[in-house]
Amino acid sequence: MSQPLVEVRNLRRSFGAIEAVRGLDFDIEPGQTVGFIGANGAGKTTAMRIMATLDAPDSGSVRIGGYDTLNHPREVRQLIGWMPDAYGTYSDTTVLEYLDFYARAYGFGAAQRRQRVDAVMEFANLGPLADRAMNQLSKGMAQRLCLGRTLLHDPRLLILDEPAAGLDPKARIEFKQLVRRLAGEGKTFFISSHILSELGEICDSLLFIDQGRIVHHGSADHLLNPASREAVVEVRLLEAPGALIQWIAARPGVTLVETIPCGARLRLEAGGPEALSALLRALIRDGFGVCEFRREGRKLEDAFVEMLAGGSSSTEPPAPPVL
Amino acid sequence: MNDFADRLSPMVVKELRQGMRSRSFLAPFLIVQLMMIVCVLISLDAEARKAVTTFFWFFTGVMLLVALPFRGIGSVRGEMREKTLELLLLTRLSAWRVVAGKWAALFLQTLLLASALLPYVVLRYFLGGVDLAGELVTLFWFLVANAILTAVCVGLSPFMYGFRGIIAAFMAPGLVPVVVVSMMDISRVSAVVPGSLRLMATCLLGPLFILSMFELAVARIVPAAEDRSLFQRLLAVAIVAMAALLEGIYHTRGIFGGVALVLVAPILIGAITSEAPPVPVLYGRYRPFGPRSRWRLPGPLSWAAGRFLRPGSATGIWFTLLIFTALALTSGIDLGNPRAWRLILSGIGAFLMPLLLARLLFPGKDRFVTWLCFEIFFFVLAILFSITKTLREHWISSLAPPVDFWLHLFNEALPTTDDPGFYLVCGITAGSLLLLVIGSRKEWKKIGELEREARNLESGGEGVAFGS
Repeated sequence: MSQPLVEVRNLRRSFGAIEAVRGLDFDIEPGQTVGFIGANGAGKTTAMRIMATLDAPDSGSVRIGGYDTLNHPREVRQLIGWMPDAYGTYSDTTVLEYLDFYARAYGFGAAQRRQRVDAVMEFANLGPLADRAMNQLSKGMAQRLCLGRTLLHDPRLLILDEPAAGLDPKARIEFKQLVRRLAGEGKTFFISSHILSELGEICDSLLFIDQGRIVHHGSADHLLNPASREAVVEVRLLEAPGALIQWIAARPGVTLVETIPCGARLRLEAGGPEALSALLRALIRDGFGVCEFRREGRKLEDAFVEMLAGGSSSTEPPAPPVL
Repeated sequence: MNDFADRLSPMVVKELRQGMRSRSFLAPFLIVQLMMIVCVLISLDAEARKAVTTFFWFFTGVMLLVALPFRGIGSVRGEMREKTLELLLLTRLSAWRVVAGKWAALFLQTLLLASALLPYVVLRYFLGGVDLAGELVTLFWFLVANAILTAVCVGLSPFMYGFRGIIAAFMAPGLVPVVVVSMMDISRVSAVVPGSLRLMATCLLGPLFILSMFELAVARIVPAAEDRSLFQRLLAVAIVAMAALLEGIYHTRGIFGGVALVLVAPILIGAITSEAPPVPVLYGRYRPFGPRSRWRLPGPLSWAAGRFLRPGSATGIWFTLLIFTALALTSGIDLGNPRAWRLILSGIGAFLMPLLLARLLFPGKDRFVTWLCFEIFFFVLAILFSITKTLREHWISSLAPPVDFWLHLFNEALPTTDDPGFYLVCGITAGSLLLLVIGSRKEWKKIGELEREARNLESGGEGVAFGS
C-alpha cells in the first residue's frame, strides 16, 4: 500500500467549552475521493480548516504529503487547494483578472501564469466569461471560477467545503462532472456536503462525523447495502399476484409488504446479494412469470439519519480508517 | 497582464485595479479636478488670490488627510468580510505582504491624485502671488501625513466590524490629534537635529511608525499556526535602541524617547491584548539566526527571553514594563524631574488599566477592541476634564491613570508629585498590574505546558519553525 497522502491523528479542537473536534483519526490514500458527512456543527469545517493550515488543533496532528500542517504550513499549502463554503468575490474585477491575480499570488512568472490561467479557464469552461465582472456571475459560474482558482497551482489534494451548496441542478451536474474529470486525472478530493446522494455518486469512501467524532467510514455502497440488512423487493409478474401471495406465505424469511397491480412488494430478512439471487431463482423455478425484479434503493440520507440515531454513541474505531 | 505589472507585488496590482475603478477614488479625483479648475479661474482676479490659496490648501488637506486615508479603514476588513483573506493567505502572499500591499496601493492612488494637483500649483504660480517652493514643501508634508494616517487606518482595519465600526467612526477624528502630536514630536526632533540630518531623522521615524501599524494588522490576520509577536517585540526593542542611540548623539532630554513610545505603542497594545496561540511549535527554543538555522539559544537563555517574547498577554504585560523601563533609563529623561515620573507611571497605567477593565468587565470580547474603546473613553474624559480648571487640577482625575496621563501630557503646568493624585496614580497602576499578573496565572501555566510540549517535539527530531 502506498503512503497515505493525508494522515490525521487524534485531532482535537475546542472553542471555549465546545469541543468541535474530538479525536479524529483517518488516512486518505492518493487519488481517492472522500466524502465528509455530518450535520451542521458536527465539526466538518473545523477539521477541514485545520487540514488547510487555517486553524491550529489543540492536540493531535495532520500530515499532508508527509508534511506536518503546523511545522510546515507553507509546504502543505503548495499541496492543497482549499475551497471554502462561502467564497468571496471582488468588486470591480473580471474573471480573467481574478485568476491572473491568484496566479501571481502563487508566484507564477508571466509566461507560466498565462499558461496556467488559460488551462484553468479551458478546463472550467470560463473562456466566455473572461471579461465578465465577478459580481455578475451566477452561483454556478462563480463556483466553477472558484474551483478553477483552487486548481491554479496544480495541488495534489483538493479540500472542498460544501461545494454544491446553493447550486441549481444543472450547475450541480456540471460541478460533479468537473470533480469526476479531476478525480480521473488522479487528484485526491476531500469533500463535505449536505447533498449526500451526490457524494455517494462521486466518492470512493465516506466519512461520517457526529459531535466531533467519526461514527462511520466506508463506501456508499457498503452503507446502502450492508450484507446483514433486510431488503425490500418489488416483483412484477405477467399474471395476477394471487398465487404469489400464497407462495410468500409458505416461504420462511419472506414477508408480504403489500400487493401491487401484477405483483407484490416483499421483505427479505436477509437482504444480501445471495439471498436476493436465491429468491429470484426460486420464483422462476416455481413457474412465476417474473417480468420485473427490483430491490428498492435506500437513500443515503436515510442511512445517515438511521446511523446518527443508532450509532452516534459508537466507540471510536480501534485503528485509523484507511479509506 | 502586462510586463510592468509583473514587477509589482500581486497585491498592489490587484488593489490598484480595484481601487482606481472604485467610486471612492474616482469621485475625489473628479472633485479635485473640478475644484482646482475653479481655483485657477478665481485666481485670475488678483484680489482673490489669498483667499484662493487658503481654500486650495483646506481642500487639499481634506482630501489628503481625511478622504483618502480613511479609505484604509475598509481595506483588510473588506477581505475578511468577503471571506477572501484566507484564500490569499493560502497563496505565497504572507499576511505582511497583504497588509503592505493594501497600504501601498492606497498611497500610490494618493500620489496619483497629488500629481494631478501639481499642474494647478504651477498654473497658480504663473498667475502670481504663490510661493512655489513653499507650496511644494507643504504638499510633501501632507503626503507624509497621508502615508502615516493611511497606515493607521489600514492597521486598525481588521478590528473594525459591526458595532466596532461605529466606534471606529467616532475614533477616527481622535486619531488625527494623536498623529499630530507625534508629528509635533518629530518636528521637535527635527529642531534639535542639525542640518542635513533633520530629514533623515524624520524619514527614519515615519516608516517605523508605518511598520508598527502594519504589524498591528498582520498579528490579527496571520493564521493561527504562525506567530508575529517575536518579530514585533524585537522591532520594538530595535526602536527603543535607536532612540537611545539618537539620544546619545543629540542629547534631546527625552524627545526621542517620547517619539519611540509613539512608535512602539501599537506593538505594546497588540502585545498586552493578544492571546497565546495553543501551538506548541511556537514555544520552542529561539533560533537567533532565523527559522532555518540549526543553532538555538541555550535552554535557560531561551526560557528567560520567553518570559518577555512569547506570544500572549501574560508576557506582553512584562514586555510593556520592560520597554517603559528601557525608555526611562536610556532616552535621557530627567528622572529627577517629578513630571517625568508622573508621566511614566500614568503612562504605564494608561496601558494596563483599560486592559484590566476589558478583562474584568468583558471577558469574552475582543480584548484589543475593548481596550481601544476604554482608551477612547478615557481620552474623551480627559478632554472634558481639561475644559474646566477645577476638574483639571482635581485629584479625582487621577482615579483613572489614562485620564491623568492625557491631562499631564498636554498640560505642563499641572501639579506632579506634590498632590494626592500622584499617590492615587501609583496605587491604581500598581493595583492594575497586580490584578493582571494574578489573572495571567492560567495563561502562564498554558505557556509552560506548550514549552514542555515543544521540547518534546525538539527532542523527537521534529523541526520547530520560528519566525515564520
